[in-house]
Amino acid sequence: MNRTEGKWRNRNIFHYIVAVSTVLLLIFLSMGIYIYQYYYHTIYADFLAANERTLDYIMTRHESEMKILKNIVIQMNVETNITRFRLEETPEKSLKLRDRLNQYWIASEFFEFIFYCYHRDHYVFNQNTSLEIDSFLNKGLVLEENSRGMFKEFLYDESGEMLALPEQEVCGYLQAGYLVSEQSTIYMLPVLPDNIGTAVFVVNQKFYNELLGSEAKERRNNYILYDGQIIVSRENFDTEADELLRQTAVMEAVQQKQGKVTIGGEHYLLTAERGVSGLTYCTLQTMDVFREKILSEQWGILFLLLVCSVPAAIAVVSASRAVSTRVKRLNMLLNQKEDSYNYDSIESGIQMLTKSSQESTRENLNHRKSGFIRSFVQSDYRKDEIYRAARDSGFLLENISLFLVVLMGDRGDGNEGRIHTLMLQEIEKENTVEGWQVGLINSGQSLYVLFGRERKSMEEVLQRLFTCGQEHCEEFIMAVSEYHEDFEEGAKAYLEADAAYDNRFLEDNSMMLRFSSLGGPGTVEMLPDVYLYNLKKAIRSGSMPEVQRTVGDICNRVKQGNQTLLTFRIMYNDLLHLLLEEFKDVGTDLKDVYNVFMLSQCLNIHDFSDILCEACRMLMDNRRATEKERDNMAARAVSYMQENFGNPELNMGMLAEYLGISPVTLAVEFRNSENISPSDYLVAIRMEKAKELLENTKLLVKEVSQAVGYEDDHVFMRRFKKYVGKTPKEYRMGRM
Amino acid sequence: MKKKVIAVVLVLSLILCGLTGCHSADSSVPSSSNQETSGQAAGESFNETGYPIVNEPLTLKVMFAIRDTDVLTEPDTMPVIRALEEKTGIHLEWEVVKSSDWSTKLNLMWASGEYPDILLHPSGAVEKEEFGVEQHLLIPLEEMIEQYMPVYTERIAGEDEDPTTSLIASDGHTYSIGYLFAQDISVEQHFFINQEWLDALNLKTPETMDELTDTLRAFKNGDPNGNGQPDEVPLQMGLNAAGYGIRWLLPMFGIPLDSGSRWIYIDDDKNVQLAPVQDGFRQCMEWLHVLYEEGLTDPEFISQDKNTVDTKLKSDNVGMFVCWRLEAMGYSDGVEKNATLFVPPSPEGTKVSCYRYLETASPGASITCTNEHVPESLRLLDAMLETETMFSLYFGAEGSGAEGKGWEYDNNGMINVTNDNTADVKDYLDCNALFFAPGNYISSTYNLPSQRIEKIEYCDIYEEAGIVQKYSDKYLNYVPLTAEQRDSTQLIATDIDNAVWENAANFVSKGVTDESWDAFVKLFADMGVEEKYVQVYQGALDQMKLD
Repeated sequence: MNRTEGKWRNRNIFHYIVAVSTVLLLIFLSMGIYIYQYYYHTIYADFLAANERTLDYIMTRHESEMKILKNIVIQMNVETNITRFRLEETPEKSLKLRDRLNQYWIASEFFEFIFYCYHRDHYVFNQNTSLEIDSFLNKGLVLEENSRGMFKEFLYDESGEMLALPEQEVCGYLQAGYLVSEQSTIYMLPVLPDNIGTAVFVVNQKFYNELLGSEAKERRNNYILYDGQIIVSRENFDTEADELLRQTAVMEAVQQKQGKVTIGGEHYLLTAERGVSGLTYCTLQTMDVFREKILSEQWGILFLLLVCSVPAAIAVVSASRAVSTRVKRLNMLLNQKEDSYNYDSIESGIQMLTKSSQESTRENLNHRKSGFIRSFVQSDYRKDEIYRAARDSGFLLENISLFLVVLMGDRGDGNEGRIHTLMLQEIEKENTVEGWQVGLINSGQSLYVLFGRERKSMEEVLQRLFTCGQEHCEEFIMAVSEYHEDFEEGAKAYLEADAAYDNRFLEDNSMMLRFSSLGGPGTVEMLPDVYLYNLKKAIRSGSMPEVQRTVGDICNRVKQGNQTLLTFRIMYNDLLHLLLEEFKDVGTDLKDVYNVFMLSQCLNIHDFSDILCEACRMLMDNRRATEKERDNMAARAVSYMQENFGNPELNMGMLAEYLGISPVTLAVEFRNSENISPSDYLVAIRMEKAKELLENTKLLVKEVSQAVGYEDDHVFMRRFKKYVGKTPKEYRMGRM
Repeated sequence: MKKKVIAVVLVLSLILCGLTGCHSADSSVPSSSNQETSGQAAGESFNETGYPIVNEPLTLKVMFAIRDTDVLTEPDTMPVIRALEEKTGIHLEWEVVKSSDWSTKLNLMWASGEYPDILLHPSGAVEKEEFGVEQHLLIPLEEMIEQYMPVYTERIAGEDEDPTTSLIASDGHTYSIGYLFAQDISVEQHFFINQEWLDALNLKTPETMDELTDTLRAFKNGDPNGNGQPDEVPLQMGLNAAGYGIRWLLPMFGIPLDSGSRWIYIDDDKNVQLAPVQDGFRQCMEWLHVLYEEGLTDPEFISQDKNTVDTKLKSDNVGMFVCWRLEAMGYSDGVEKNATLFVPPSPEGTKVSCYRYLETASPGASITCTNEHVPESLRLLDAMLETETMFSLYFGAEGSGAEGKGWEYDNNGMINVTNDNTADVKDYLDCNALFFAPGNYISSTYNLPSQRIEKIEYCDIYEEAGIVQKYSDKYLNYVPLTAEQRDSTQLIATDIDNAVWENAANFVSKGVTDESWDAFVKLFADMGVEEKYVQVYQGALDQMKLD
């Protein structure tokens, strides 16, 4: 459980990438679905609307024609003198009737033929002639699907309902004479409201071809229905008439205008509406048209989605790859080879790095602090340097006006680290006081320098330090110097503290040992200048005996004076500083010979004079050496070559540059001096070394070559053979 | 900048088009005299006589009218046409136009400024007054016919009367070659009576009006068809039923009229008379009223039209009727079985006067003003009129009788037409072809079918009986009226027609009283018919100098 939890918690970068990709994919999918849905609905709505439009068009046109028919019969009803007469009684009215019928006929582009039958007579009239009813039925207008009997019944029908006879073939001499086409639809309208006659309108197929016809590719059937019958239709595909009628009736019953129906196993969209005239118009289109449209155009959508998603996918993949590579690299840098894709470990690694860097900075700082204190106490700094050095070490001496030196000693158990920490904490508590410590290994003391602004607060700190020391150490001794204001008097302050410390035998250790309580004259008597002058002369002459003699003079002089140990030390320190100041261009590092801490270790006066002599001797040697070096370029070249022969880049140019002369001068002077060209000398050095290595070590020839400064071992082998007479291998073998 | 240039260019081109249009319209109306001179300057390859007509290939454009119902092959693929082209050396480019489109196409053609050379239009009208006299789009031909159309000229000369006078325009020029398929007849309407019924009732052919009326009564009451039903229709005619209407009954009362709608006629004294105000008209109305009252007419007499009457004639319950002829009319189940021709009686003091049918040519072919080969064109038309070519163009190639087409010579050198109208697609021009066969010519060339002979016999009988008008009313078609006169007389003619039918129905159904008759006559006086109509025609007729 834990492991899996751990694994799950272990957030691999790939998990993250996968999560992002999944989200993107979901977004795309949902976008795609939404678009597709919208598209589907739009196409469907268009499909429905197109069908509605078709139906509306058909219905509007046909209804307006039917309205005209209605108006005709209404008018005929009003004109009773020409629509209600018996031909044998008032034949002249027939002429008027024919004229009227002619007017209607001329004006119409709907019906091809118009008849009128007065129910109380046995004649039918058209715009040209009268027709005896039987002659009309038998010869004039013979219908294919309705028998003459039925037609006669319809003509005399008094129910007041419109009758529509389905489109059928019409024969007869009337057809041959007047009608152009053979298939006709017949509408029989009662002359309402009195219903004394029937007007018959014959519509030819051309009209319906134009109104109901549609292109084959539309796969649409258009119908006009009446009274449970299909009156006229134009079909592009076969369908079951009965089923269509039933479905239409169903739709009408629920007052639905449009709906999907299944007829004969096929799916269609049926749009139907009943008109004012009582005719029902419907249009039937196969759903395949809609489906095909969806199919054909959905590829466009898919293509679009694809086009959008491909760049997105590429972007995601490349981004993820970049990110994972980075993560891996970061982990490699942090040495996390195992979980190299875990970005959590990056964070922890960086945290670690930061912490360690912080620590090292702190250590660095502490180190610098210690270094500063040590140098401060040796009065290494001049006034202008001190503030900068302090700042570099974390001390702000600008606000400081006082300082003193504290020496602590403890015969304790060696738990110095803890004590120091406590002490430093005490110092830190007082924010106007700063301080740091160095450990004096030789004397086993801890040296603290405290910086502060006012004595009061510093005293408090001192007190606290003392209390702390006493609490935590077995035998604790603390010696404090005077307060000083001049930052160049660091050494002096140390010596004061040292003197106070040395006084521990005489004073009460349960209290701080103060220099001020030592009493005694604090003035330092300076040595007369002539002694210093003589010493300098002796050093310049380079004669050791003279130096010793002068040092002896100085010591005698000092012995004669009324010097305390402290003042003597101070004077001594100053003297040495002055000397070094004088000869500082020699490049001597004083620290090798003398530091202020040594003063406290001197047992007798001889120690002091020894130190002085030693210092002078060093100065003299360095002077000689420098001069010697300056005069002897060749020696310098040799020494340089001897030191750097292993560097493959060492060549005459580099050497000349080091010596500060031109290669030509180098070659000439060296040859004059040593009777060999510098390059040959270098080769000799290298070869000798190579021999030594071949003899004394088991290094490979290649490694030897590298060691003596030849990168290319072939070159080395050639040179070696030329110089030695044998190949390196042979030489080695010869020596074994 | 570019748009400006384009706009300017467009405007300029529009202006140019307009100018050229105007110009071409203008240039399409040259004076006839120019055309005559250019026409006579025929090409060098032209042969004035003999074939081929031209030595170098010549192409002429022909605009050709056909009936709507015709289904013809492309004329230049027809064997008869090919033969013609080979013979004459003239190639024809045909533009075939259906007659319902003809007038539209013709007008468009005139408007376009690009005319064909020849118009071949027995099936489509080309108004000579408008296109010839007024606009000079057609050229006058009379001076060239004799020179270049010997066949045509000879055929005209062989007739008793010049059938091409009908082609003369008001300016005296002839703008077309004639189309005439003569039947050698002089009377349109003939009267028939049911001989079976006469025999059944043992009656003789009535010779007076009273006898006729009694005969009709006998038909009605005597059950001459012996079926026990009073279903006999003694007089089967209509009121306004064209040829089956009173216009063809009025000759009995001395008023000769054709089956059209003009109510004036030319009496034997060369006077133009208004028919509806004549005594004969009144007598006719009165007689018809008697018949109507007694139920001796078809009950639908007043309302039925030509087609309805025609249907009734196709069954056989008819006593008396008027028609063109019996054969080949579809009456085989009807009146053809039992009717015979008879010379109708007339009231006392009146002579029967039947409309004289003039066989005159109607325009068949015309030549446009842009034709540059007029002599060649005329010779070509003449070649079309040569007997064998003419019959081939009309009926199909000689000897193609097995396919239901064509013609052949019989043993007497007379032509028998073997075309029985059964061919579905015709590779001859059919009755759209230029056909000039006046009466004497046709009867000496062509074996007329029996129905034609029947009709000719009827005409002979009526001529012998002297019941045909002397001067045909048809001359009224040819009287020289000015355009103004034509328009105004047209309007009055319509008014007269309407007035006649309105009142005639009443007269027949209700009878004629003096008052109603006077009122009727006054109608025409009020319309100013005498001055505006009758006299106008009279004046024009007088100019014609009928012999």
